[in-house]
Amino acid sequence: MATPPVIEFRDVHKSFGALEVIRGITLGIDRGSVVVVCGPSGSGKSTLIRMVNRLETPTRGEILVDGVSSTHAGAEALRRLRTGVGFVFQQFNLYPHMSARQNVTLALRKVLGQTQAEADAVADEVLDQVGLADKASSLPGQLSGGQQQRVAIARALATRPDLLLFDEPTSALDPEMIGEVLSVIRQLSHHGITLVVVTHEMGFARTVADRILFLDQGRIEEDAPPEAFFEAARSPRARQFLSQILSPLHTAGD
Amino acid sequence: MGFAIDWSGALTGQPRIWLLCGLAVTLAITLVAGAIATVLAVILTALRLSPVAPVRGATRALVSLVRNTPLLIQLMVWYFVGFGLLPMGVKAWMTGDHPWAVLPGNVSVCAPEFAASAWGVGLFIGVFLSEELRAGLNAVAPGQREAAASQGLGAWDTLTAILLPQALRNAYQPVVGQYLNLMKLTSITCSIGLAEITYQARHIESFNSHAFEAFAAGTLLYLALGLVLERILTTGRQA
Repeated sequence: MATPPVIEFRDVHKSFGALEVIRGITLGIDRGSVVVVCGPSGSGKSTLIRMVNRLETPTRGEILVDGVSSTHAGAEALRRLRTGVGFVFQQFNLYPHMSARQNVTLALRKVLGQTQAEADAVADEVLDQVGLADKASSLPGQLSGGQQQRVAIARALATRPDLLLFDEPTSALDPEMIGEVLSVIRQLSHHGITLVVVTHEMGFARTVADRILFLDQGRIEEDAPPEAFFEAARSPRARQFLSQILSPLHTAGD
Repeated sequence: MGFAIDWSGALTGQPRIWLLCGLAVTLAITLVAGAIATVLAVILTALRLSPVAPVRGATRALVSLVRNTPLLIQLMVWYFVGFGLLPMGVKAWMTGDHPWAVLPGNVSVCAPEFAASAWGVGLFIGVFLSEELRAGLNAVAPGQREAAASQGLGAWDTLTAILLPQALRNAYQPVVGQYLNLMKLTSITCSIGLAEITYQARHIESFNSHAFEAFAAGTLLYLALGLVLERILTTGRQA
């Protein structure tokens, strides 16, 4: 209780029409922690993190980021909040008509008002951080899936956010490219940035996470450190999920 | 008396000068109307995406009105009604002497004929362009907007830096087609007295009755303009 949580969910609910995907979540995420969110398809994992920077708006309750309500922020406050929260998508969502460098510099120039030279310097730095300094001039279409996702991570890092959200960052990748992306995320975990990662990569969760949240049907069924979660999950749903996902017959994706 | 072709009736002396003046005016009206169409297309596309429902509705109504009425009628309205509604001072200025604004053939770009033509054709094609862009926008992946939103980009930056460039790429061939249409539709502006190619061909016909030669020469000028325009617009693009 020394420092306030960087993200705080207060009795958050979310429905899409008649479908209730998030059913009352109250949760605090500590600054600098690495949190993995897992659970079966349709359990609300993606919706949970998409509500943090209001790509989805909660139906009820609210979410605070650094003490500021993202749920009730006005347009200007929301834009400011979003520049402090990096988001990495499953499908990368790079801007296909722009080079890797331009993908990184766009928001720096348009949102933070940096000059081209300042933004380019940041781009070189973050592209180097994800191991793609030599691909700065490439268009997304010229890069492999793993490289595209690393550019997307560089783009999310450009504004120097305190918080990075990953929505199944490796689910759209060929198996041989998953490792390169996970190793970039793992390396970020040593930098003191708060990471919230929705993923099915349980090996990654076990070795990198400080805390694992298991969602089922819109509720948090388990909230535990990785050892406790993998060795002694309490809820039957979590045990069933783990037995399925850790079985050798399980294939990547879902 | 049989039908004999005599090109000298259209390609020598005064008729030749008239046709060349017409070519200059067609070129000028195409460029100015093209610029107006481009700006209006972006504005109309932005308005169609407005979060305010009445703004979207009004824009849709304007698009329907312009798309579903003849250009000829619209030109008449802008020329006879639109010009008449302008303040006296503006009308006086437009019909005044402006040596800098005079094209070959003594056509002033400030004159009501040129202004109504540029605005009328520009609006007409601007509406069609905005519809092409809207179709192109619908083909842009929804994740693009989300990526822009997650970075804190505003609506205008998202539209101009991310969505429109991709929409334009998706709709490139139809957009080129609309610019070529614009060039050809400028021929209708002869109906409100703009002395462009078609106007000058009719002028030659009434002067020396060489209708076939005059209109054949005019047609070839349009064809040449169209081929050049198409080449310019598609340079560096795969077909």
